Amino acid sequence: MTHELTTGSLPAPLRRPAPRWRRLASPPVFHGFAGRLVPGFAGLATVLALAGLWVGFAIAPTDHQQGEIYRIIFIHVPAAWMSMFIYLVAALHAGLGLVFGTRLSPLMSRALAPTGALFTVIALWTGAAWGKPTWGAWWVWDARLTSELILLFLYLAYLGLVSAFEDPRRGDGAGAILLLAGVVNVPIIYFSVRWWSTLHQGSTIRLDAAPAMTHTMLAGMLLMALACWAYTMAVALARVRCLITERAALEAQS
Amino acid sequence: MNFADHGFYLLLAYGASGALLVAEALLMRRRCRRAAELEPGDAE
Repeated sequence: MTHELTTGSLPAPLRRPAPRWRRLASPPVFHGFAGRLVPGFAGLATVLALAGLWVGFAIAPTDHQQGEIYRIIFIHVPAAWMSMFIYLVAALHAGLGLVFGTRLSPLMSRALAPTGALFTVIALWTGAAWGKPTWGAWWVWDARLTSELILLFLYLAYLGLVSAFEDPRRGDGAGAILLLAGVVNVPIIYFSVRWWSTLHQGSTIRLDAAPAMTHTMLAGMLLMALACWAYTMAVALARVRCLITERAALEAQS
Repeated sequence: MNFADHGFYLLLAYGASGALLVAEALLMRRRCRRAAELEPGDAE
């Protein structure tokens, strides 16, 4: 004989209320929570971007080899970082949704993917604008560039796949599998400059070595990276609010 | 600073990036307004 103890069988005074972080996994609760955060992150992104551009263009010195064109790194590198980081976070949410069946997780993946795709486009575009005057070509089939292009295709495939299903929950499941399968591409992007002999330069900032740039250049780049992160938070939280509302309206109809 | 040589490429990079980010934020705002019309009252 088995005895199952559930909170439903306990008298009301013995039930423990769910901790706040667990209640946040409920879409209606998160809707209100996210709404309070969006203006703060939007303001933070604006301030950090202005500070980063000021440091990058007014304070950081001219590079003695590349001249002024190196200043593209203040948008190129943060955009490339964010393209990979957002993908990993979206895949993490996809995994949580698959394993625990949480309702909010697939919506977070859907909310993050368009911004991740946008940062991938920006990384590729600004890289091309740097490559033309530096390498003499807008594009080369280099391992770093090609793997970043594959990342863009993964984002586009995910966005196309989740919107192809009439039942959004089936779309969530299929999209989650695609996102998780594509995670293998992220370390390939990051280590491509070490694993292969590439035209793309090696990592300027590494965890196991001092940065190969002056402090003001590094400060400008980190400020812009934080601005891109705050922008992503603002847009993704605003988008997930829309998705929560739209999903609730859809479920109310069916 | 002398941007005469590479000003065009810097403008191309920052101009397009800024335009894309602002466009996404504006599209998001429009979508949020449409979604708000679906809400019966407070979503909570």
